Amino acid sequence: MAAFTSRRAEAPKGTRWSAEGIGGTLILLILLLINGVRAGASWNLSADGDVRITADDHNDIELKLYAAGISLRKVLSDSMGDRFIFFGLLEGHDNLSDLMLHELYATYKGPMGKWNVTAGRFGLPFGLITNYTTSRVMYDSLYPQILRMEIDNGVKVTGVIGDVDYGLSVTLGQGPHDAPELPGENLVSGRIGLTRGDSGEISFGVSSAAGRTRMTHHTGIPHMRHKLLLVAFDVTYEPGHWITRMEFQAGEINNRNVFGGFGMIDYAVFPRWNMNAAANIAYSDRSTSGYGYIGAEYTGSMFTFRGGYKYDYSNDQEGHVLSFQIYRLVSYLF
Amino acid sequence: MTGWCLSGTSQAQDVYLCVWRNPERTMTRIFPDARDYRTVTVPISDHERETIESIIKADILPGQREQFQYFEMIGKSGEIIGYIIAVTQKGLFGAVEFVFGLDTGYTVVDLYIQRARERDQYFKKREFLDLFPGVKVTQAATVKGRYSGLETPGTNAVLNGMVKALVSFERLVLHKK
Repeated sequence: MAAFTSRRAEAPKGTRWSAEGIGGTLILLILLLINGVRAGASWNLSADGDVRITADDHNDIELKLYAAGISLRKVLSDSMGDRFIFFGLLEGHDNLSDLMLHELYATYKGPMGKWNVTAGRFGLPFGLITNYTTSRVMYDSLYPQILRMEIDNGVKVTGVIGDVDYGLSVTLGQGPHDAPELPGENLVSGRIGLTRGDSGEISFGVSSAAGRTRMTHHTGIPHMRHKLLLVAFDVTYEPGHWITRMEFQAGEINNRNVFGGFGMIDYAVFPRWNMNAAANIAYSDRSTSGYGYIGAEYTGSMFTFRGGYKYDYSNDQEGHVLSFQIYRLVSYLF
Repeated sequence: MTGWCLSGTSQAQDVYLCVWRNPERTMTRIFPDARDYRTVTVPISDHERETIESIIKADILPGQREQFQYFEMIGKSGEIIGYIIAVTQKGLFGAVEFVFGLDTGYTVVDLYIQRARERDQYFKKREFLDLFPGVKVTQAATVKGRYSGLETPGTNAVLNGMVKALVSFERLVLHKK
């Protein structure tokens, strides 16, 4: 789970308010309030904001609230240990023109986390997105080009047994932007991972996803249903002052070959200063797209500042983008 | 599964709120007989915080000033077989996160570094980490004397974090039992 458990999907074209998102959040808050009073346990409330200015080689300069989120998390225990975890995340993208209940789930935790059952809207167990999100950094992993969703509605089973972790989900394949509809498109995703080292320095994962999805769930245009079968291999290596992540995916979407690769490295150059670089390339639907990014990050006491240059490539079109981000996260236990 | 961490390393600002991403893996290493664990959160009053800060001679970090969290390790019959404390301390390159276990006699049994981006990595080596098993909660004042080697931001973070956690556990948990 990433530090701030949010995962951003691509920005929509129009303004949409998700009634089920607002209603669901209220229900969650009420449930948590009742449970919190009864259990006397703490809650964790987090909120973040991501403001970006971008300039491209068409002389377009844009300043916007790229994303903002507010999340609430609570753990309930019984006499034998932690039993239930509740989590809700309300997110707004593109100057809050797209509000959604990005995640809302309840987890029943089995003994020592060997098995856990989660129901609701949650992150898919597939490739790097299982434990990592690029939602608040200046580059993307492979999901916008291939699987095209990080979050979906359904049920998943996860667990950790020694150095091995696993996850298997059955979801509707509709993503986080709309209210769930039955029957769904139906997507099965799964990952099995291995972590080694006293500090978990290196981890590998093999994943697969099969079924149908609404690949246009984030655009606001009529839904296009896609049939897919994907496999992925991911690796994360964190020896100390640098981190690298890589992922490779291959398979078929609508009986056409797809494949892609993603890599990133983050290096702590000076105290509070990191340099990072990332690249990806994907071939999907008979077209190739990708980017190369290099940037820097400064973590201050109040804000994190990120900036960098990105070379974009899509269908023989090249683009050059400079971007700068001001990011703020606050978190409270109460 | 349960744990998570917000620290100043890459995603957040100066908030040192712990922990952590994959707790079961490390918990099982420290307490292989544990059947499960329970998260316990203890509020810290202003008076208690001032007392702890006067003992450790340092301010408690943002994100840790209002509540102290630890984990009770549960045995097969539902009995407590030990405790896990996850510590986040400021290093030179962001947060240094580590986890240690206490047995039911409140003695340190083992310690693992979870995440740190320090240049010098000596503090992750077993010869340094093995200095701490055997320390009792009431012996926090002796922790720093166990290490006489080269001081680095990493070793200082572990030493200071260990003292802070032991004193906090003694004042906020043991004193209330």
